[in-house]
Amino acid sequence: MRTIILCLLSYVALLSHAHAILTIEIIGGTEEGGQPIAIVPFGLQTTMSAPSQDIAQIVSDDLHRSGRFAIMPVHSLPEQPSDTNQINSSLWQAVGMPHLVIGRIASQVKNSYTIEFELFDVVKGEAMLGFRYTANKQTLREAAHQISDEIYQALTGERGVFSTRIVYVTLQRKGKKKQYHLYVADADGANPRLMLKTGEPIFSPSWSPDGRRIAYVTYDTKKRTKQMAVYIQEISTGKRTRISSKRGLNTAPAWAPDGKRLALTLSKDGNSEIYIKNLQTGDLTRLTRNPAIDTEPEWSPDGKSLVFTSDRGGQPQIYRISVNGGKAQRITFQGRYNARPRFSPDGRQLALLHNGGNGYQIAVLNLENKQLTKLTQTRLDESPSFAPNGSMILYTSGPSLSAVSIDGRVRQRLAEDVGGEVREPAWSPYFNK
Amino acid sequence: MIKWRNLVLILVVLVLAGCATSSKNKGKQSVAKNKATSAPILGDTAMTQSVPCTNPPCDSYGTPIGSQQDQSSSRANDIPEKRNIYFSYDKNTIRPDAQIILEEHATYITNHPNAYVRLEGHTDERGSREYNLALAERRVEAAKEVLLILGVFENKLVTISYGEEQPVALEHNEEAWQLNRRVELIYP
Repeated sequence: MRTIILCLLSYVALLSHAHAILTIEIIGGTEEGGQPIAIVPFGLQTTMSAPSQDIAQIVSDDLHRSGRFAIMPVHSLPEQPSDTNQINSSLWQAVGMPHLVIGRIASQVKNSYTIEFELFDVVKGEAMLGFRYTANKQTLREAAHQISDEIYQALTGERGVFSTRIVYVTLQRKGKKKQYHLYVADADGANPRLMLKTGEPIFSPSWSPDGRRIAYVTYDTKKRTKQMAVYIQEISTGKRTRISSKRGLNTAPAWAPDGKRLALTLSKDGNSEIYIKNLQTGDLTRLTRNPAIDTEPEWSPDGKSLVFTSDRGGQPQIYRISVNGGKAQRITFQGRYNARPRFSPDGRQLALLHNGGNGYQIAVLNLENKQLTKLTQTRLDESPSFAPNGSMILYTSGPSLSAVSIDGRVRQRLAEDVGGEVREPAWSPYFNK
Repeated sequence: MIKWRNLVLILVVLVLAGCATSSKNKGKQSVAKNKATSAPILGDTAMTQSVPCTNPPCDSYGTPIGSQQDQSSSRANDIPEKRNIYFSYDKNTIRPDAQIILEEHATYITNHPNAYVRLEGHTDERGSREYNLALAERRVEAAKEVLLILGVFENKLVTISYGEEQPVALEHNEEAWQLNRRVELIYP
């Protein structure tokens, strides 16, 4: 058995004292199916008290949310081993279970834990992989998500996204008063960190490619009026910089893959056009020239071109333009409304907001065969965002957060406890590539 | 002249119609509901939103004829009552009903040297949030252009787009959507 020691950097998560916590749990829509797997509650060293986080439960929830696994309920487990030599394979074969996850937690020093787990192949009768982690109270969840990532990758061949994060905006209404919050949280909604709290709307949060900064839009209050502005905020320090506050629109910031340029929509020259701002020199280059609406730029992963929404043909459709400008090519032809394009991480597909006559739904356009596939059936969907492994799309359906697998097979409505609406979720990139 | 009289006639008839509906409902309806009864739904026909008909009394002041004989001359100094103009789906075209309202405001602003107006653009909830910010911006710019043509100085106007962010009606139906597709003229 291969054991790798992985020491997690212990950092103090600056948890906000916010009332709003996004608890992401599946409350419906998941189709049955997925690989069966058993996750046995981890054994605890006899002298220790239970840690504040239930590792096996977090792993179960992660794998369940991926839609790729059918998790055996704890009460159905035929036995609860915590070491490989305790496993009675015939019991598991009898219930048709091909894989189980077992583990144990030890604590020598207060607030320091050693967590070990194995993914066990019942048919072969041996562990496929096993890891040991050192964690403290603050990093227990992180360790659990890394365990989920290992299991997911071993069984699907695809990198997991359980250690990534999401950014989202919430709106709470109290009578006429509105309160907007911008949060960064773990991919499962835990550990929300408040980035911004304001009475003004917050739009379009967007991750820098290194996952360290967020660009977003809000309004600055000036003497007699308000002015839209694009900000970039560093997550670890909260330090924010105003990038643009020209007359009119300052919206839709989108990071270039190199992290050095930001595409955005401005109407300073009289009409909404797409510009590229060099974040190092401050230079601004105009990319589109058209009397119609041009907005919602998105960089292709290779950085050579951008896609955007334009109504130059009479209705909003997606167009593609070289990063050096020139003529834009229309790339959506199906449906009367296609907007807010987002590239899949491999650049082969675009998630977009589509209306083919049955409301506003999330669809995926295959850029190779031009096939458009609708992934949702609801009528007021918005803001699709790809998971960094391309397996799922996070979006909003009315006031709530939802997720759908890229093949449309697994649909999830996610429960929120934020006391309001959730908007514009954006899934982070991988923090280490 | 004939055209003007027709427009005024339509306006008076509609406002009176608004009176009839709201008095029937004995003021029990919420403001939003009340508006919903006579706000334009679709198309480019000349319609106005209903004006609450209690106080001030129901007439069509702010238009070239009709209101002067009514009561005090201070009435003419009042800011025009209708401060929302409405748009069709995914359009920024100024409809005839909106044109009338903008003319009232243009008259008011040019007659009041201290008047400033903030134009706030809005869309309904459907579609993409960022696209809607651009669409609402175009609506504001279209309204601004009309005011400029009517002789309002640009330094009297400030504009802002809120996209779909500030609906006045929270329902998810065509009536609510129409009420939300608007430019508001706000006198700070």
